[in-house]
Amino acid sequence: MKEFLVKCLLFLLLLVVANGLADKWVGRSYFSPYREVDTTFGAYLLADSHGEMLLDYTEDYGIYNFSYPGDSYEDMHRKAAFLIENSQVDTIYISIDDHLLSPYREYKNNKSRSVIYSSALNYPNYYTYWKERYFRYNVVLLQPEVGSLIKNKLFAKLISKNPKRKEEVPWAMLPNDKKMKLCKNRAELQFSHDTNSVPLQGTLNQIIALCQTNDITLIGIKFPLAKDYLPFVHENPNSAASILQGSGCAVMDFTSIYLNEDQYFQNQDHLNEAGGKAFVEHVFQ
Amino acid sequence: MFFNSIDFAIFLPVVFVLYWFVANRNLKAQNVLVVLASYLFYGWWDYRFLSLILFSTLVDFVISRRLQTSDKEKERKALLITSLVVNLGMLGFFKYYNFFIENFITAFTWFGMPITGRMLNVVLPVGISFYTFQTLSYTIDVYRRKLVATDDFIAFTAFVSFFPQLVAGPIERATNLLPQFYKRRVFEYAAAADGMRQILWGLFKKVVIADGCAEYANLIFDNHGDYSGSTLALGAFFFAFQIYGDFSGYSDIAIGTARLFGFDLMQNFAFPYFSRDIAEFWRRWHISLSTWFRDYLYVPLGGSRGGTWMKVRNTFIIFLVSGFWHGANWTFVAWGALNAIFFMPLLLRNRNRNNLGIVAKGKWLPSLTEGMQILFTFSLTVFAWIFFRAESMSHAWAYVGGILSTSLFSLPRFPGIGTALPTIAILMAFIAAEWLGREGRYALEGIGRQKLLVVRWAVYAMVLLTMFFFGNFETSIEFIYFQF
Repeated sequence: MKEFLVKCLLFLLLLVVANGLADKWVGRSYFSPYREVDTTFGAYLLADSHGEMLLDYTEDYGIYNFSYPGDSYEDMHRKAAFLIENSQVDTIYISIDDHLLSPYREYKNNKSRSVIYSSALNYPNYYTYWKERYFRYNVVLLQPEVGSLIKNKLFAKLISKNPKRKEEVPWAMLPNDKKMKLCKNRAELQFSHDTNSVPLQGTLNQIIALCQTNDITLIGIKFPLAKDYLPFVHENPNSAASILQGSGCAVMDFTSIYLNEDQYFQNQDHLNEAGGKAFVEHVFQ
Repeated sequence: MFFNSIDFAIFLPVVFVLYWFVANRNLKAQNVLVVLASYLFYGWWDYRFLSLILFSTLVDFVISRRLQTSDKEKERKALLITSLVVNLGMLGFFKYYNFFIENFITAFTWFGMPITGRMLNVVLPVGISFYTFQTLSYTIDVYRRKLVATDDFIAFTAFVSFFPQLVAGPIERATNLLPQFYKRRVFEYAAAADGMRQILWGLFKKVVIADGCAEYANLIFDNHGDYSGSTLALGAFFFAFQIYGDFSGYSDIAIGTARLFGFDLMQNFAFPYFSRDIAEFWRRWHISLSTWFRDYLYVPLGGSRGGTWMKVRNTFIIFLVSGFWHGANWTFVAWGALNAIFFMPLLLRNRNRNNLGIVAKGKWLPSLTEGMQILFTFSLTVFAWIFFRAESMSHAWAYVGGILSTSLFSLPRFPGIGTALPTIAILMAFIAAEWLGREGRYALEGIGRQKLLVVRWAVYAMVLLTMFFFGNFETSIEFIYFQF
């Protein structure tokens, strides 16, 4: 038994060391940016990658941009609960783009990172809270994203010492057939299902209830889309916008404001920095 | 609780420590701990399932005690029938009720006599088919006087609910497992180390092979209309390795876990994809179920004693029932029937016991004939898996129809085929590892005999790294056989 235990402990020790190295090498750069938040604001913007290019321009209007690429409603729910607990938040702007209720977002999200904003109340019991918040979060070897990052770093080093990034052509400069192809691919990813994700719709309802209980003004924002992409978007009758409206929340639909302004887009459904700046001025001024 | 979950990674060492350091002084304490751990493990899914397993345990314990003491043949038969009715009744209710109602409605409607029926909204208790068969084997063995009924309720409860093999086998025989609960287990380093190795290999099969293949198998099966014949054939190939990695991986973890606690479970898979004919395949695939059907159905039906017609009839019954055991869907029955058809030429020519040994034993490679036989048998198996995987018979036929088109000879294409290349490369390495280890009970067993520690640990590190880089830990994907 002694020999067995010694070997098990040695193995465990090796895993702990490997975990520490993985955390140092890629884990920190993966988790750290997600931990940054200023809790002194009264209004916050919660969105996914659509909110990314608004950068900190929103701060000129007293709104903290708490968006992160890939955030799902579950991540936003955790963030909202965290803000209510730790700041003087009175208004939350939330993205209500149609793809956010698509079932694919059940798998594409930042749950492994947003767990730091969760509290025991987000879990069915304390054991699950401890498991997710402390065990899974700290054992970075269990994070598939960390594995992918290490794999990519290793391959990048193996293949070339100076990996060249492919220059991205601005949306406005792309030929039409290329635009159509990109729009089609994006729509296939985001709207492959006719119905909403049940868990995500449930989470959106929880966000609404949480804000109502805590007297927070919740405002829905639909981000601008490029003209070519608009025909590909499936609006579900039970969309996030209609759910918010049904609960008495205000909804601002900016989908079509830049139909003839391709220079504001990075791709079919994401603004570039200039677009982000212009959009902030348009919405919050 | 899934074997590939954090919960199990916490549960296992806790139970291990309690078992060997707290409950190791006497047999009763060890068995009580096994029962408590098993009920916690099973109740993790849904605590309501516990009442079913407890009921099944009580019924078979009481009936077998009575079977042991009674000399009246009539009474003994009545007791056996009671056990069969209770156990199979529960299984039938939870697993097959809706299927029969649906088919009755369809049949009556077809004959112009439309009827209505009420479908039930019941959850299928995890692993019910497995523990039902395990308890049945016990009662039948006591009835046949092959086994003395136990008077130790705790040992019997531990036997029925033993957590490593409770939800997806191996379906243990009471003659093998129950006596192991009668004597105090003593820790053995070699067995525990071997158990850890088998757990590692099982996890690898599950999170790398099965879950890696599942991604592409699901994509291709779910959108079969969009793909060429060659892509559909590749999808079936992926599914063949998905189900093998999934189920044999589960069995490896189960057997390895049992070894950590001083128990020996039966081998459930013996490298079935290296079989030279379909009869050999069935001696190597889900061995505990195949032998269960052989001993408790095929033999009582007369086995192969009553001439050709009897052999053919019994073989078909076995395969059809085996298919139906897997699920309440005609696709499983078709899968069973296909395997029976594949088996027939061997049976009729008395060649079903030709390949009993290990293929190319002691050699690096098989002969050309053996290689061709393996490829042919594997192709038949993959073809049958299409029916097993399909959602419905029309789905299966459409899939087969898609394969049998001229596009079978084009290059396979599907979205993200580039990302499948590492999976295919790992699959090839996995097949090579399985081939090299085919003389053991599992592929990695031979590594344990390797004298150089550095070689052993290098292999373990390689397996772990592959799991880390290519394994699916994002979501604990349920083992396929849990649904059965």
